Amino acid sequence: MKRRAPANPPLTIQYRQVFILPTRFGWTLALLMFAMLMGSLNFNNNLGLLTTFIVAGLALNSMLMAYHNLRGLRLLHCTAKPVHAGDTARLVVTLSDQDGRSRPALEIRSHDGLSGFDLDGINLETVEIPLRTHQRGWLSPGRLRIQTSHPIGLFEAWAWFWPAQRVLVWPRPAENPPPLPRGAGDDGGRQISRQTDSDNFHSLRNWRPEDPVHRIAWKASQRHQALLAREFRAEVSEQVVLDLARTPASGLEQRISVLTAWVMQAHREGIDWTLNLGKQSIGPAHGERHLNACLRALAEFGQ
Amino acid sequence: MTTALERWFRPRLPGPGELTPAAVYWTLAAFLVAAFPHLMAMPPALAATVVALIGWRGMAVWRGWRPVPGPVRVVLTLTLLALVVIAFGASWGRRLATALLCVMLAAKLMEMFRVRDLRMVASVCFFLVATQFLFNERLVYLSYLVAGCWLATQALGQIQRIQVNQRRGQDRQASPGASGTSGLLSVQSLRQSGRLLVMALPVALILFFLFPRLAQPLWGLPEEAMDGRTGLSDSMSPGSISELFLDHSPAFRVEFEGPPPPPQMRYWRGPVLWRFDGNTWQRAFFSDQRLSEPPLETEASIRYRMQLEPHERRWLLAMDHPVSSTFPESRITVDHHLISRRPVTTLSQYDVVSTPDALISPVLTDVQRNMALHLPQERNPRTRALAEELRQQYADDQALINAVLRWFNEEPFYYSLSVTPLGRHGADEFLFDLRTGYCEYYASAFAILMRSAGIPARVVTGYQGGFWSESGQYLLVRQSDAHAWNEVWLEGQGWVRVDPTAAVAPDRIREGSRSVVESGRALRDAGWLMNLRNQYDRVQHLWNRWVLGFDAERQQDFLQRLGLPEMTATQIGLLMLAALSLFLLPLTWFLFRVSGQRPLSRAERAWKTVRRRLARLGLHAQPSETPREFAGRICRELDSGERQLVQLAIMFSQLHYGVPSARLLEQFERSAQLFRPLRRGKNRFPRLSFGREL
Amino acid sequence: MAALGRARSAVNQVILGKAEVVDLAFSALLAGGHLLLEDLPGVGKTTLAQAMSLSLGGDWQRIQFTNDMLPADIVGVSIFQQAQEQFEFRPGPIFANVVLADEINRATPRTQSALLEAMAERQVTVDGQTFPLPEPFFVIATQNPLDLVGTYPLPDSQLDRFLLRTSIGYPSATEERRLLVEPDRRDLLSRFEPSLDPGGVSDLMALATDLPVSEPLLDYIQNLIAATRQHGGLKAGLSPRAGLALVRAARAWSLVNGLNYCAPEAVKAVFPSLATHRLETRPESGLDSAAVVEEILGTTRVP
Repeated sequence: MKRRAPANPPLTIQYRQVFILPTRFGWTLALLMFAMLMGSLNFNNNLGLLTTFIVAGLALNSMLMAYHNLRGLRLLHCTAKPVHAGDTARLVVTLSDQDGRSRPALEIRSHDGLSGFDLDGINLETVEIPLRTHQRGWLSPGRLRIQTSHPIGLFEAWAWFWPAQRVLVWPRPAENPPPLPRGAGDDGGRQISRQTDSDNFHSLRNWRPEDPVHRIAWKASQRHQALLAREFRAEVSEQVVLDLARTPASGLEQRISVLTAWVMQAHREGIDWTLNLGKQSIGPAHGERHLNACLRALAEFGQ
Repeated sequence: MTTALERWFRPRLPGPGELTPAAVYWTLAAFLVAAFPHLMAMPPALAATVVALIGWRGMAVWRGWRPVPGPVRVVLTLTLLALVVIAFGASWGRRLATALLCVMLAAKLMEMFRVRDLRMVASVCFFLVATQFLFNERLVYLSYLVAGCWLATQALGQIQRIQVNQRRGQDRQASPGASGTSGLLSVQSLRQSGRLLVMALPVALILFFLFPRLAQPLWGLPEEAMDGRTGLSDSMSPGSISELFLDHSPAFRVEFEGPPPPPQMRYWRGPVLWRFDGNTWQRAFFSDQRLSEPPLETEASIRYRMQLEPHERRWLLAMDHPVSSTFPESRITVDHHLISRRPVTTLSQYDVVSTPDALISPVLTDVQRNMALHLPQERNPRTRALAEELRQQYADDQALINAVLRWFNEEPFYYSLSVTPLGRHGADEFLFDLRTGYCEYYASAFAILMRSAGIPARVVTGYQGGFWSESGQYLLVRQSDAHAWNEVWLEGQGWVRVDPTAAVAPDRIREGSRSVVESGRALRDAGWLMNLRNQYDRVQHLWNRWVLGFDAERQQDFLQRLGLPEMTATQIGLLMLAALSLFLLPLTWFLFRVSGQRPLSRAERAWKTVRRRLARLGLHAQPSETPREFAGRICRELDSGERQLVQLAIMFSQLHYGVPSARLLEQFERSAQLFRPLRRGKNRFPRLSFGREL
Repeated sequence: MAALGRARSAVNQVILGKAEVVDLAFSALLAGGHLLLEDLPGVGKTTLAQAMSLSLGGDWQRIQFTNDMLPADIVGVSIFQQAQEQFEFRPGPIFANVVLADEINRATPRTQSALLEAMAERQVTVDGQTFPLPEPFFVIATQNPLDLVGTYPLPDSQLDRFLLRTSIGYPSATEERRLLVEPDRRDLLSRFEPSLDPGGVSDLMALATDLPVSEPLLDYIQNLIAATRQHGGLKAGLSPRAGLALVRAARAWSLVNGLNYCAPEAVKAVFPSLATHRLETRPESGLDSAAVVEEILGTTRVP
């Protein structure tokens, strides 16, 4: 792990990268220990000294434990589901450890939040870290501070992770977008209907004499003690073309915002669509994959 | 009805940032235990208030009560402080300080609703534990130390969990282990904090033995008599010593260089009393003066080491007659009494040399003679009459004394613990009517008789006898061995010890105070109980010697025993740091071994041996490797026929993952023990790599 | 057991240098599952299936899937017999001990599901009548990963009908040289002597089911499954059914390798073939499931 630049996971925390300092409480206890030490030394009170030194031993051990709780920790990878700008992305960090040790009470802090977790030494652990997003495009999570004050909060040990992984931030969909440009213009949109014969099995219904024999669902009929027929639905499919140049909005960001809303609406309605962003054209197609491709293109556009 | 009950008993899940019941309960428990001895020493009303506040805080968690409003809190706190001041008066001392601390912490409980407050209370518990040892350092308090520290650590651990859980997602917060009362008595968390404490011990011990000690205190100690602690006082009146008689706690212990002296020589000299006002004996105004010429050390001198329990006085007990001592800033007074400059507040060890047959004060000054002959006027007419009668009979002082002792012996005088208040003519009442009493009655009456007869006499208080521990090779002197005897000044002999009690009850001197108890009074200690007590004292003695009495001098001793030269405090400090850092490595290893996993089977242990031997050659198993994969890889890496290793891996797999058979297990363990991996190619590997290079 | 060893070495004689694939094939057979080979044509899929079936001594059938195939072409049809005046069932090619379903992705989903149903239920239902398939019943299906035009890739939800999915891959240089020099593999096959018989296979299957699985190994299996569930790059982890399948396959693999207990090597050997087709990665993570599975195997401690 390089300290000064982002690096790709997997990253392992080496001993040089662990910093450690007493917490506020740690300093308070140090003060208390000093008072105990002075008192016991002055009165030459050996049991008092022993108590003081036990506290000192506790402090020393908790320093070591905090340090060892971090050292050798491995960050395997970071992923994040894309979100729309303005939403909080959840950076999913997967961690494990090299030595099969359990590591309790760890925390990861980003600019925007903190989340705690334990490693049990056997399984991988995933942690979600909130990241606030402001604008579309690729968001770099920046340095992540992984910290712990295990076991009794006297010392805080921390190390920096700087994953090179970035988070895709989709544009924010427009609140009240204009209606989808269905059939508008000469090639702005057209509708085709496509009859697929028996591809799309829809449901079972009671058998009617006019149904062909091969439509009878024998197995299901047996279960239901009645003749059932498979019903297929012919799918009527629309297609729209969504063009950046023709989007009714002022300013690039607003247009992209409207396009985002449209793309999502088209996906919800199950329409085929094409996205034209100047030189880049995606589609026509439908489905999740297509939606993701379009949203990504919109997020990256002009950046 | 049921809903009300349910609400009553349902554990409230804490919200974010709120204290968990477990943390609060543990903190309260730590506080209660740490404050317990302090509470016992407080006035009952005050202690009860503190306990009530602890109870209130516990209930507040259980029932979800709100914090006390500010004004009420202030009023209560002030009331408590006023109570402390009233109870202790204006005398500023350690008891007052700790009582104030306890009360303030208890007041803090009322507003203890943040993690910070909780932490403060838990960590001050350590402080409370440490301060208790200013009052009492006996062995039994070790358990108090352990319990207090353990609970405080446990509380800190639980408090830490509040923070950890706060920073978890909401989903985990609701999990029962993380919060609520179910985590309250988790044995696991107790074990964890116990482990933490045990791990702290090595560091604590290194620091303890190597931390440079102060030879001189930094600031003076308050002159304050310790509460409830008994010991010799600087005056004697009827009953003051017999009070001590019931106290079986140790007064001091002695280790002799050479054989212990016989019982009749074991007189431990305390304050010497000159002034008599008719009721009470007191020290003389010159009693603190330094003796200009202490007795010389002779061949008959006895050398011994004293281990004096703290008694809050300046007396340092020593055998007749001290020549020198190693106690810092101590002196031998004109009374041949060893005293220190400051009260003895901790267990102290010092070496003393005494010369028993020294001639002391061959010349008596006029002031001294006057004081040693002074008697209040118009008192004890019968005693005076007796003295005059004896004087006429015996011209020689020594003969007179012998006659008195004979008289004590032959007349029906009894030795008893019963304390009878004596009137204006105390010696008369005792010598002619009562004739039953404890050593101080005899010493007082004898001195009066002597003075009446014109022989300078004084009373010496101290201890006599003691229990010789054959197994421990030390003499234990208890408070109950307190004694009083006389010294008379004889021309040419100086001060000579005369013990009238010995004339009345010779057993008291030969066999110690116990013999008197059994015959005299019905205070029956069974023999085995006494035996047990003596055994316990042996442990206590070792404890005193190695833990409590460990001071700058003993530290040097200890280092020399380790074969190290004499060192300055700085050097010792450096040594301590070196030992600490040396120690950190194994500690680290020990602390962070893969823990919390199931215990290893026999086969696994044997396999671990094999892996350790390979690891010494730098051949480590990856966690994700199976035994056979590991063996195969090692064989490939070594480029050699470590076939044996593959065999072992196969056997281990069979035992670990298959159906275990006892015969195979034995065979495996044997081969694993015999397995010695060959060091990576002395003759094989380099040649091969050269070949590759070419 | 000896017979199993002979069969295994016989198949290895034919399929050169692919001992792992042969082991996996036998494991799938003895675990009572089916095998999916995803590979290019010509690497020996058919030869493997043929060699397997020949060594088992049962009958084997090869079904070449095409896009005009109907379910009846696989399971069989009921034909009205004029003479007897009743329907008579003509069993399809699926009624065999070893079925090689070649290029399964060429058939329509409907036909595919007929095969998959038969595989799962080990029986065929035609016109309300149920016909049990012979025992043992073992399907080796092949799929061409590159040939995407006009194909119907098996839906993800159906993939777990196959116990294991693997690929054969190109032979190594030495093996390839032997292939080129030595006589045609088909000649070898013609001289093939069956080492096993269907009854023997059933016995072996029973033996595999009884193979002991130790506690540490169960820990390991649980840890692996837990790791898939916690991994940030995966949409979902392995199901309990997959865990059960893992135990079965590991037992069979151990038996095939002549062990009398279930070994961790077995789990490691079958885990990739068992898990990759059951796991789906998050598109945004940029990982593929094979990499994730490798990572999990590499980071999970073997107890």
